Amino acid sequence: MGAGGLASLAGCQGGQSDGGSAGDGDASTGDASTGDASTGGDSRGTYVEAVPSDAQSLNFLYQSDANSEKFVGAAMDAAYDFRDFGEIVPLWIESVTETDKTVWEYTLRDNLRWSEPYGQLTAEDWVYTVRNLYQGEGNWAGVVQYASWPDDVTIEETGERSFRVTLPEPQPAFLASRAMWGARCLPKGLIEPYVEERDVEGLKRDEELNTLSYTGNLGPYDFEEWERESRFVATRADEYYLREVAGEEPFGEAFAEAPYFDEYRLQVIPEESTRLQALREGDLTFYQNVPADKVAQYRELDHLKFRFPPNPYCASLYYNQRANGWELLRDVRVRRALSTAIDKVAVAEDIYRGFPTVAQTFQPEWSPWYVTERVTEHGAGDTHSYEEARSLLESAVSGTDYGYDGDALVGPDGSQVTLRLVFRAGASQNQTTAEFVAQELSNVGIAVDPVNGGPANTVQSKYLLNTDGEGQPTFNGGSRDASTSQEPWDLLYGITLNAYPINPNGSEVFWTESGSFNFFGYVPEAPLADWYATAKSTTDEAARREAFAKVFAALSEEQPVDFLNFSVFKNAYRRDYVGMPDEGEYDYLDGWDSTTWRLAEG
Amino acid sequence: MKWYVLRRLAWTLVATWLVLTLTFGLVAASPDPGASAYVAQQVQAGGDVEGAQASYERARGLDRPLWAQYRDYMIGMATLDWGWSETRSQPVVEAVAAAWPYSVMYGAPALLVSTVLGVAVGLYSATHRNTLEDYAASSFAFFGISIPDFWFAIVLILVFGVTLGWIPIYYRSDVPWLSLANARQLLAPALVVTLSSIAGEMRYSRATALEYVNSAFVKTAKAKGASSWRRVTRHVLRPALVPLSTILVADLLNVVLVSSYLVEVVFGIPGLGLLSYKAIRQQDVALVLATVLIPTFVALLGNLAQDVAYTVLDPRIDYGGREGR
Amino acid sequence: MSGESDESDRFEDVDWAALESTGAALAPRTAVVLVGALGIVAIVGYETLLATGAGPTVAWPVAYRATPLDGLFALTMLVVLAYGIHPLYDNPRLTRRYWATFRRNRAAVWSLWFLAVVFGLGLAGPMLLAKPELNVAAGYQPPVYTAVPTTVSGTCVGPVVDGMCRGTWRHPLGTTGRGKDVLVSVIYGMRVSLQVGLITTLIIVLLGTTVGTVAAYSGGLVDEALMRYVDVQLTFPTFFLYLLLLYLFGGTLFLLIVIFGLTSWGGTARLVRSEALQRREEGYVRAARSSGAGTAWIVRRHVVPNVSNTVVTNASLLVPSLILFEATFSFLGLGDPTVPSWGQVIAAGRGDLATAWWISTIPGVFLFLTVLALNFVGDALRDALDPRAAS
Repeated sequence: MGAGGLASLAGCQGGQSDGGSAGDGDASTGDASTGDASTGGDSRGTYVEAVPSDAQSLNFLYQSDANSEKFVGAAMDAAYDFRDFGEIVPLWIESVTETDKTVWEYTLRDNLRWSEPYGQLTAEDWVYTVRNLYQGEGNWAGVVQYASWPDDVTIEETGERSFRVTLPEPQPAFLASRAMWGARCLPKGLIEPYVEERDVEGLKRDEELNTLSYTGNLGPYDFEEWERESRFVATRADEYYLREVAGEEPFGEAFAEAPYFDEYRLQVIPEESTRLQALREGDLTFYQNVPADKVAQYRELDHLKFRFPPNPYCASLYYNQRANGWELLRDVRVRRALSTAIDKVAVAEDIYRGFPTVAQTFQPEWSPWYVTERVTEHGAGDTHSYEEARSLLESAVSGTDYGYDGDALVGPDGSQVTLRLVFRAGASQNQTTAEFVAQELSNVGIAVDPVNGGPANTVQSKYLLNTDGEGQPTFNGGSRDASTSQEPWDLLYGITLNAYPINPNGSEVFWTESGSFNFFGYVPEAPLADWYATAKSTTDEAARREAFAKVFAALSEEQPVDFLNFSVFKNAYRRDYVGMPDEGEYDYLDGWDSTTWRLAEG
Repeated sequence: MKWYVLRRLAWTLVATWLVLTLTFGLVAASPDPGASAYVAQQVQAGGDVEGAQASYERARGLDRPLWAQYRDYMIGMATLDWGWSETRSQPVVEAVAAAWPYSVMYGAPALLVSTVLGVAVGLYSATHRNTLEDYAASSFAFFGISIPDFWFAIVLILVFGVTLGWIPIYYRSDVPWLSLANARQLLAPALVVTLSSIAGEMRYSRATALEYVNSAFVKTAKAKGASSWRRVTRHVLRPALVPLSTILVADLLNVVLVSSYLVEVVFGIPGLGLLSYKAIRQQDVALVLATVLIPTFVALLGNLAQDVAYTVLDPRIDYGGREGR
Repeated sequence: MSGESDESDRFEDVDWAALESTGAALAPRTAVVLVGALGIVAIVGYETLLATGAGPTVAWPVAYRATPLDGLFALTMLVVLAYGIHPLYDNPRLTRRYWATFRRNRAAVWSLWFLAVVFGLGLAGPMLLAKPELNVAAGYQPPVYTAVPTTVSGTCVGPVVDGMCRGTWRHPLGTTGRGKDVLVSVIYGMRVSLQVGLITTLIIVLLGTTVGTVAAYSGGLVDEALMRYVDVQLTFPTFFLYLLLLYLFGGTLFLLIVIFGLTSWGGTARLVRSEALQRREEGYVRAARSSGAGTAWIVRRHVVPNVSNTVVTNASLLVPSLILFEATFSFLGLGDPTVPSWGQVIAAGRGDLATAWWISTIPGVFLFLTVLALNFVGDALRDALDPRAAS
């Protein structure tokens, strides 16, 4: 259950979840075993983590969020995970080979077994699941994996343990697509009756699927009990396939006895202050994402230690370039001016207590696709300047009906330009940042009116989804002149997007004119669509790198949005919980071997 | 009178159906936050909005026409087949059955204590008006309804759980129900609920007692030399118990289902309050309907009981022959 | 009364024709209220529909922009003054009698003075003080004369001694996590509590009294229909409706007040109805009816004033519970985060109770005292206004 890559797969929109969880971030707290200090070789202790909300279902066909992954991932691994850029951790899959980046052959391990009576996990199970569920006609089953398996991708068995996936065109980054990364399948015997009847309800309510009782030796723990809204308990598996693989690259010897806890326990505690109290009391083994303003206090506690793995979620201030936004936002100079006027470093340092790293384009600095020399900086250190911003604005508005009247930028009607900044409710820092942006922009003569956009789904339906009058509202309902959102807006803050450093091809949906998630109506001046196409299909690594470098350089120059920062997880661990990298060395994917982390003796 | 009661009972059924229909309508009209998040996720992963919405609805049986869903739900409610809870992956009946013991575990003792204490304080206050003890007793009773429940609960955890270590910080549901450990961890939630319900009981008993304290028969008893204790218990309390008992049921329901949510969230108790609130927030239709059905039905019955009690209390009020006035 | 004045007035000499009200003239009080209400509606209407631009509409004496909430509040104050306070002026003997009974409850008297202070500060304070400003560099500052470790406070406005940040008079009650001064927030919160408490209560009282008295007096089908509707409304999950409207329109204080005002009057209606049922059988009502008075007249002139005591008591107990209700909604994250209410500050600071205790506790204390005071006053009012409890 690699904590890094797989967890970041789920949930493209980072940030706060709104449904019922109070407080910021996906905070999970662990609860250590009460009382007994583990003595002797048999008793290994309990891993306890507290989560803010319960999983809605253990059926991975219908759930894809990061929270559910904590539950399901305990009992089941997946096909493979990533441990570094370009290097996979072969879990269920033993090896992968490819031809021309078009035909990919996967070989399963030979010691994978479902629980009785389903026998061994074979290619037949995999192919059956993909063909009938993921590629089911018209997605009759309503599964979440349908988006990763388009109809022109074919899969076929080539042996008892091997299968082949054929793509319509070469995709060098296919390994990073969600078709196989973090993918799972189901035993044919289990789903066959539902497939034949096309019984969605049955599939949803099947008891084995809902109690993870089919998982055999496929995961480090076996499901024990799940008391809703209270706790989820799994016990150490008697048999775990990965133990037999210990010693082979990249699995160290530690895997021979993994996992090192007798019990894996998730405690559901909705109230953040209670979760934090449990952490303070030493009840927890692991707490994911302590709120930024509390990290300093908790670091002083003897029984805790912290790590700050970076995450790929980019927080940005979006500029509305559609017809219902400020018309001048379509001018690159104006956008650059605004980005110059807003001090990103202050946002990261003061509002978020210094934890996030400042962003300048849609890739974090630690990503292999980020080329520092080619990125144009705005709003940090020397590149944060009100004078510079004003002069940019002055040159941009000369020749238009806008102009500077003293300190204020006035529009054609003679009154000061006022921009509407919508922020998502749910995290107090969103409002703080919105008010800070208002203060910053007032220094260049633009008034900003921060507006509470409501929770995430309200923001989405009112400001993100747009339509040109015909057809359903979608995230990109048409050209920016024709398709507008329900409510007008100029600036928006509170939506974070996953930059997918493992395979940035996915970011095409944001930055091309017809990208399906381009809700802010950005029309790039540089030929981004061509570069993305090149990066997607070329088999030449250098050409790919160059294409992405150009894309991200262009994004930093054209500033479709003001890239503010990339955040980190502020994770707290019990001091005697060892196995993770040292502080300062914990990189994005370094959680892949978390199954071998243990409580130190003594 | 009999016809009146029968008519009201029939009305209870009709009203319940009405409220359920309205609730269903509201749920159908409300945007589903889960759907929004799901659609956004799928689009970012390369899907399209229509496909994402369709798969979401298909997985939850929402792709059937609205009237078909409505019909199935209503029939299900009546036949006690309450359907499947999407957000808990279990039958609704199981979800409710799992949750209500926890609510009752801290709610019933809390209500018992608050009733006894509330009535006692109310009687005392009625008979010793405007003395210092009256103010003290009233302050104590008002304390519970003057502070925000959630704040008080958090403070309790902080002081007694973290600083003093007398109670656990959060509720562990795997502790056997009839054990000392369970009692210990239920102390704080029960305390919060008790304190917030005392004032209501106190007020009501005080008002009722005041009605009788200056009445003729009590003064007669005093003239005859009855002690104040005897006057209070035998002459004042007895007639006051009738209306008191009717509000007890309403209070229990109110506590268990409404004000319990805050307590359950802060302490982490998987009870009915949390169940119904999460059902509403997450738009889990079947669960919402079930958790609306129970309190609606019982509240309507409680209203009927109260109305009948009015006629018992005040013979001038009669529902029998009021038509045609 | 016209008639012969030198001899004793006799019944036969009364000039009834002259006494009959012309029917067209309004009582002066009603006229004042109507004019005032029209003015308020006009101002608010202008602001919401016609005024453009984001700046304040009026710059002197204070920068001000009227919102619908302000309009509602002004209307409420007008009604309370006209129909609540003015009758007390008009009838000094009655007022003195009420006061005599009320005064005996010392706790209530103290509460009344406390509430007067809160009320005054709530009205005047926001006009003189600037709204609490976000100041990221001054977050988590402790109150004056206390100190807190710098790990909690971050950058310190005051002196740092031994790693402890000391409080200063610049922020006498400390600041919240985002640097907003707690004292100013508390004063602004007084105004919000006033708004929530008074406006919602007024709506509830108006609707509840009307429905309750009409139902009780009319009897029969009207009574049945109204009470059955009240049944449904009482058991209806109002929270749900609020949530739907929150998703559709965003969560504003105005919405909270209006929705809960419009849906929570059921309890009051039942209460008023039970009182009115008893009044209905009184002699004066029968006399009025047999002299030919219509339903509306009797309800307005005879029933309502006589149940008004119950209504006032009920209202005075509604106000505190509504204020607490708003705090609960802030805790659930459903309140209005742009409004500096006590509930918002308490809810925002609840995660910091172990370290930055002042953020939740100070407004919590104010909330507690205000609600407690309201409860005491309500109970004393009940004693003063309820004729049956005269000892």
